[in-house]
Amino acid sequence: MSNWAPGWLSWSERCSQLGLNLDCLDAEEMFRAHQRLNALLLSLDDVVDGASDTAAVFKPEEYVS
Amino acid sequence: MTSFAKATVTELSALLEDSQISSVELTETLIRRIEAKNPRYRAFLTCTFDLALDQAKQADERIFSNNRRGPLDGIPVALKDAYDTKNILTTVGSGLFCDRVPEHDSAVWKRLKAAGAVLLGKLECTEFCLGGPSPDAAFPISLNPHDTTRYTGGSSSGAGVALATGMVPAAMGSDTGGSIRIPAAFCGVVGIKPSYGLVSLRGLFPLSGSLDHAGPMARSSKDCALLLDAVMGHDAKDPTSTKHQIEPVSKTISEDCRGLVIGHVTNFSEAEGVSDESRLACHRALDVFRDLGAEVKEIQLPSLWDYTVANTTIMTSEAFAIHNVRFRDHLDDVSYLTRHRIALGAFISAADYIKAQKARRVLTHKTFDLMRENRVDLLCYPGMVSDPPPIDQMSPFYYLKAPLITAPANLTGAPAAAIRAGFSDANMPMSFQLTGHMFADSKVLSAANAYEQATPKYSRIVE
Repeated sequence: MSNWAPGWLSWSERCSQLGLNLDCLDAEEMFRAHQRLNALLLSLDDVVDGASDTAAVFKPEEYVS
Repeated sequence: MTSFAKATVTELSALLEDSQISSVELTETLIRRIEAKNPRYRAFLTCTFDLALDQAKQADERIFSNNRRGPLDGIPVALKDAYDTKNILTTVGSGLFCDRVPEHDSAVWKRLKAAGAVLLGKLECTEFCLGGPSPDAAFPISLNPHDTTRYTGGSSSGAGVALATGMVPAAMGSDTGGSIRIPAAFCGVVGIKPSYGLVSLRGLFPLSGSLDHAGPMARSSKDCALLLDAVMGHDAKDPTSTKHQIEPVSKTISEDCRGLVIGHVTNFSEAEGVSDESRLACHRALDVFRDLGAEVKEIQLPSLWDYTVANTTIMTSEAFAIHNVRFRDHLDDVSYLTRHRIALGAFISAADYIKAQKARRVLTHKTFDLMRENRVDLLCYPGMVSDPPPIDQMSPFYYLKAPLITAPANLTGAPAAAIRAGFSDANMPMSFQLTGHMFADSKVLSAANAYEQATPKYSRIVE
């Protein structure tokens, strides 16, 4: 495992803390997926900008026309 | 007469009603079909033939004594193996649950049973409703009858295959990111993810309670409406169940689209990864709707990526919360695709989870506001981005590489159906999606039914 991106060490330590056995996972695939999701999550900052902090509850009745 | 294997629930129900066939005769015919087809396509994980014949006999007695309970009385059905069935093996597609026998029925099966449905068995689903065609899965995935080297779509894979091969006329699936609509699209059948909360989730093994939807799959929209009528309704024991009531869907089904306004979601049709064929199939469907008298408008919604990221974040976080204790001791007993997809949830912070839930609410408001501002009744966009991929080319995180075109309806909770749209150059089924306003499930299935009546050649059972 060479040329790991920054954050790899803390990521693998986190796996241990969570009880996830890295031997059972493709560590490179997981790490890259984690990085990719984090990057994508940044795009939601614009979406939620200005939304109320209590806006995290979903009730379908709220959207009835 | 249409053969039982090709017949719709509507047709079979009329034959039962008129005593032209008996439920036992129908059930025995389908059992023989399953015995002939299932060894090749693997749609059924567990067969309940003795129970089915017993239920069919009881249905016949009711019919002969003019006490038929309704259109599903005597109709054979099957359930995705994520629905709990009392005293019947329910594996959720996982080797970890290979001997799991629930003590209670799911709410959906209780309601179907009360309607007189006959249970033929439990259908293969990808592990914990999230996996895919992992070569190391305890239960090998069903094979797509249109091309066995290609993916069936998941996670209600067995349901798609059983319907496409004529083994059963109706099934129940579940959908958290597209798990009803994807196998319906790839197998050439019909499925609807109803409005969020309309069908009880009690006894359906959860993937992500915020996004899970129980819903019907069949060979026609009219049949989906009959099933939906039987299973929908408030369930006080399910906290996600809505008290909002809608009229029976099958009663409002029509073949008339005059006055209907359909919004073609152009930024979904043009999204990353959507093939020219899929886009064209959607355009052809819109032409049919125009011919049927509907008005078609173009509409732009927020980025497909925004819906996908919020949906993926919520689903993955909640899935890990459900499975994390199990994963500590048994990670190597979970199939490759499932363990990777669920393990990703370990690295999503509470702050990011809340951000995704907030984004859900914002995106849902924007979606329905835009529909109202544009005076649009329904939205139309491609069902899938392209033909089903080869089974051996599935990666754990494909939905992080390109946006998921089924995700918006899970996130918004809007009713969404996958409808057949012909065949691709590779002779694979294609589809488009119709979605509606919250709780406008009737309008979605009514328009879908009108479209199906105008395009009968798109229905094909694999012999």
